[in-house]
Amino acid sequence: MNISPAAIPAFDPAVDAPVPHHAIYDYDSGPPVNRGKFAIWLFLATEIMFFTGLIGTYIVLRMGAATWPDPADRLAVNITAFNTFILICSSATMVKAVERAMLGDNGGLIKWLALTVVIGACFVGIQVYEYLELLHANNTPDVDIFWSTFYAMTGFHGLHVTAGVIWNLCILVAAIFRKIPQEKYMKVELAGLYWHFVDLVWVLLFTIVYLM
Amino acid sequence: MAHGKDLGYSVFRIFIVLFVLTAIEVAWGMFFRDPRWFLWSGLLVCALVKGLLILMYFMHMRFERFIVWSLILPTPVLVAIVLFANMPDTVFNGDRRDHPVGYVIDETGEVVNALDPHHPAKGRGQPHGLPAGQGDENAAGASGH
Repeated sequence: MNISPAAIPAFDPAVDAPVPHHAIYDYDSGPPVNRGKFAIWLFLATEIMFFTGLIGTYIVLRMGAATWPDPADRLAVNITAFNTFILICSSATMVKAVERAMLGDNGGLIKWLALTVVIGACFVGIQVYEYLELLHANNTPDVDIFWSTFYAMTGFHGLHVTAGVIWNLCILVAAIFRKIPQEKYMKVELAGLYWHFVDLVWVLLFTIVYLM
Repeated sequence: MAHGKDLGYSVFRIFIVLFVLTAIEVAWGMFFRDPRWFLWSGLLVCALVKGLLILMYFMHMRFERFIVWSLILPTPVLVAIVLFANMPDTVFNGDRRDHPVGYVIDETGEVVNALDPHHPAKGRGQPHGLPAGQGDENAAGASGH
């Protein structure tokens, strides 16, 4: 259908102006970033404080102790170093998954996200194995403050990794059913931010708990 | 990510740097046990660089606006408050403890090394990966901090 320019009525601000988002103020009162990203960073800020509480308490307890066992004598550093490498790998695969989601490549998203889920599950599996070995040798949390703080910090981190694996798994299922089109890549990015945060926390925990 | 469809950096390069830093950390922990300050400072530098790389690139904070930074910038201040609020309760009360860390009180009330396999309290806390009875050399593992 052809419409001549003369047939189009002139712009009338009183009629054609967009309705303001707010009843009084004609601007969007939301944050100047994606709301999901704003929310996840707010959540991550609370998570920083959560792990700070744990790590800070560990540092203060350790500094206040007359003696402290050498972690190398009590913990399997080699296995955990391998686990750290695994988690770093999963962060890299997660970045690739986000990149694929941004490009609208659903196949690539599924491939990289599946890899992230598998590697994340491996991390949890190795940590469970480590716990079983330690508990088998009667290294229970009630032996001394070393084990109490060790299980508290690594245990809560392990729960966070497990939550991350479940979250990524949900995104993966959604991607398999083609529920993550290109314009909804932010769903993958938000899961990725959480996953990288968990990785970042482990980098610090590994150094402080296992090596220092 | 805020810049269109390009990540703006090489994921592979960051991954390699993280991998190398982790290897350096583990080697550092093996070969530089003493003095303690040297061990700790090297490990902390590696950990902080790794953390910053993850934060700036994988979490793409390098490309984020100030409002996102403003959400996490207050946390270092709160971290300091948490640490200093905890400190008086423990640091200055170390001499009031019943027994030092790494030691347990056995059923007779005696303070014994938790890793000593020859003591009646043996079995409570064996070195990881060692069968019971091979922890003698680790009994002296409890060191100052």
